[in-house]
Amino acid sequence: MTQTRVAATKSESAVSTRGLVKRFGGQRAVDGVDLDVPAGSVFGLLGPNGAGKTTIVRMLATLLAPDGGTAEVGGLDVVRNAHAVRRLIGLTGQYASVDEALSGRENLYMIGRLLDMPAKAARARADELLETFGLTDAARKRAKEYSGGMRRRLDLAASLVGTPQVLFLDEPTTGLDPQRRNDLWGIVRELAWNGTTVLLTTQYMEEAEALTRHIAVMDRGRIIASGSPDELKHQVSGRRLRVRPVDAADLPVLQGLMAEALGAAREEDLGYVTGPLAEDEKLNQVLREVAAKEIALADLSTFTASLDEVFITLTGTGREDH
Amino acid sequence: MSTAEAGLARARGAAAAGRVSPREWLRHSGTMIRRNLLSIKADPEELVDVTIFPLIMTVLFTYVFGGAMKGSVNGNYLEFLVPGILAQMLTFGTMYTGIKLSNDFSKGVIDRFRSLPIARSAVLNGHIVAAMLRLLIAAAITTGSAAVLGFRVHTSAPAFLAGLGVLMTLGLAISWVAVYIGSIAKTPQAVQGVGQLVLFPMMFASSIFAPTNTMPGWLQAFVKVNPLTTAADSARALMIGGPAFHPVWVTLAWSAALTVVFAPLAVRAYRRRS
Ligand SMILES: Nc1ncnc2c1ncn2[C@@H]1O[C@H](COP(=O)(O)OP(=O)(O)O)[C@@H](O)[C@H]1O
Ligand SMILES: [Mg+2]
Repeated sequence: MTQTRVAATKSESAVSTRGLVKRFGGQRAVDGVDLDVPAGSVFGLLGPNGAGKTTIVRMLATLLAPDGGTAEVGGLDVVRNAHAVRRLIGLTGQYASVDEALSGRENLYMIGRLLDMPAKAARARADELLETFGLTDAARKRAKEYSGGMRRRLDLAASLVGTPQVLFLDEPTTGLDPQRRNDLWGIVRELAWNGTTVLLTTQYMEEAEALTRHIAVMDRGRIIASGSPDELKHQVSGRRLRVRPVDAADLPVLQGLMAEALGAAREEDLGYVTGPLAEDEKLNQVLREVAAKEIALADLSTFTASLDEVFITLTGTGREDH
Repeated sequence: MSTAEAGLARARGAAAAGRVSPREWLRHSGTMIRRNLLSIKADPEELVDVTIFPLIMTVLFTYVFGGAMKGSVNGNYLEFLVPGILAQMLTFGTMYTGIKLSNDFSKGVIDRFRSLPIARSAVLNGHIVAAMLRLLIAAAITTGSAAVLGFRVHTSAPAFLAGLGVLMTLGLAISWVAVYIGSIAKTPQAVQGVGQLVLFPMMFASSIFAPTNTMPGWLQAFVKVNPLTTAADSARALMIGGPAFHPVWVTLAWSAALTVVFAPLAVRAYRRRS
């Protein structure tokens, strides 16, 4: 396609935004967002409900005009070149958007025809996608009669009819059971393997970690952290040291000396004390002092914070119960 | 530059400018019309409002009021009623367009279409053309059934078709009103509510079911200018006989006015809704 070449020469990023802003009334739903999604990658936009994920996706998919900043898809401006951008993208919105009066097959065929496929090719593509998404048996049933999961799969299939270069998936697994979720993860991986750039939004760190090496964490319209899952973990809390004394009576002393050496430490469940381990040298310092105080240790380990903890720390969700 | 390169450059230019060729425009609109017709096929209930309902009214009114009305309608109420019923179909027949459009918005189907590289007007074209076809189907069914009950056209086939043409012209104009309401209303139920609120009074305060000369003066003032009255009178004149010029002229003027006002409003509301 011609647009492929335009895109490739103009930019390495499949999606790129600078200072993107969207206001609803007085509220800034998206408040100066910079994103760079490398071509061919799976990119995770992670954030709690109301963070502004859907609003960003809608702007990138040319459904909503930004109030400020710029956004490019395949090197093409989403406002000035909206029509050309639409030739590059596929969109699966947060809520399935299929024509419920039509059958699954008719839905896909219709989109093929709208994408200027000859009737025969559109029919073949529809059948191929129905097969891929396990909808062959329901091909002739009206989408109205589909279950929620089937509708979502049909919706995803609909966004793939034109073999898009950039695919937007807005919370694609919300409401799916674990089996279906895993199936969908498999499909996303396969798309990425075939070179499709995928930008997916999710509320679940687990999902971002399973699918992507590029994550941007959003909260209240802003990007508050970005990087690979490992980078995010280190950025937030880095490595931690966890120690358990044989005698629980030693816990306060242990906590005191670790707080002294590491800058912070707290007692946790099951008789553990944990604290941040900024540098390896601190580990030796703790061990020397433990030896000096003659505390017997039953267990000692270092670990990196889980991504869920990172997410919670960054967004502040659930901070109250910590 | 080779032909292929020139073609590429042209395609790129057109794509960048967001233009759709006339052929694409036709194909996109055609696909949208097909989509709406398929949904009628899948959901024949859609036709109920514009076929069964008018039929029931035809039968009911003919047998309930037919006898009593004989005196005031030159002897044959069925002949009076059927053209009126054809005009009446314009109301619910077009309201459907608004309901279906609103449904497309609330189901997210419009978002899907808007993310595709297709002519912006294709969705509306599909709805409006399908509405016209639905009205024609309904008119055929109604006329056919009325013929079974004894209804006969007294003029000529061309005059009958001209009568249908006048009705369709007004139907097209009302469709823009429906598209406008469908674009601004929050839910399909709201469209239905607003539609019924406006349409029921317009339907009964007209010459659709009964001659207007026995209505009180204040009502007649409204009834006379009601486009459904002039549409029913046009259809009557062209199908049964009588002076056609005045009602036809007024109906076409109404159609033009509604279109001029509501087509731009509807397109703007449709484009603005996100
Ligand atoms: N059409 C709209 N009108 C008004 N406010 C909106 C609209 N869409 C989203 N918002 C608001 O913008 C914020 C971000 O919403 P959204 O992008 O849907 O977040 P997310 O997808 O991350 O849950 C929320 O506070 C939401 O209420
Ligand atoms: Mg959302």
